[in-house]
Amino acid sequence: MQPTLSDLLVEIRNLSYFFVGFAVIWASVLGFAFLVARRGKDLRAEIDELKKALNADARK
Amino acid sequence: MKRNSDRWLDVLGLATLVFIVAGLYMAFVYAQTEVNMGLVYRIFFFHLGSVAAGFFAITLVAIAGLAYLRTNSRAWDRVAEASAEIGIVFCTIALITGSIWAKPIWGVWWTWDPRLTSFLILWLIYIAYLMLRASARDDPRVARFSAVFGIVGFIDVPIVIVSARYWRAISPVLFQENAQGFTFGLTPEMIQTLVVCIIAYLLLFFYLLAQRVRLESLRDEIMAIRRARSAG
Repeated sequence: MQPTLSDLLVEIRNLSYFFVGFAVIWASVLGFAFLVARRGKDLRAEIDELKKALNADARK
Repeated sequence: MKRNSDRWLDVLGLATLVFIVAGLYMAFVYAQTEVNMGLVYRIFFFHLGSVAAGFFAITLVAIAGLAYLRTNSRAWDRVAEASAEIGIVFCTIALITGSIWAKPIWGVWWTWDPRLTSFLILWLIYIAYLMLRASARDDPRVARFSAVFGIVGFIDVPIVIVSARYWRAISPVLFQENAQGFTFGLTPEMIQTLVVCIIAYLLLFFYLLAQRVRLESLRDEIMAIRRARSAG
């Protein structure tokens, strides 16, 4: 049986749900990975600064 | 020079990437389109992968919580906190993608089905867990209370799993029992794709967990340096 216009419209509408679903999945995973990486970078910078300050305190 | 743990993390990252690419290929090309649901059913592979990773994360929160209560080791506490945060990410993905999948199939974004409701309760429990942790990051009493909270919250996981089987629900039941024993309401290609996607998500979970635990170690290092500064 040939698909009707209404079948085709339903499939196109479903396609949009499909793409939104995949966008949500990968945006969430990549967003979280990016946040973790940025927090790690900030913490490493803070450790470097604190170590420098600790060394400066020791020299005084 | 790279540390041994960094090398293992690189290998884990590479394996995760390989499984994600394989999972995407199998979900889009290898698995055939489902007759009734059409193309949109392919979300299911990643939706169930997120559910599996989320449940695994929450199980690990409970195990790490128990280990923390027994040993008082900060390492277990770090694992519990990191695992809860990643578990929430995967459970959020599962909730949103489940809703997106439900709309074209059931005609509604959300329904108070037993499985959906118990899953939402699980999500709220672990949101509360993270709020509790954030309230006093370095207080050992909060760590102990969180460990107990994480263990008690885990009770909801088996309820979510069995809810569709034992209560009147519209959520699909994957394992069904008939005269031939247990059957899986999927074709072999779909099952293979599902297995690859679940492995991909579990590897992704371990990769993110390793990164997130490392973050907690850096935080502890900062606290130790601050203490040394104030003591000196």
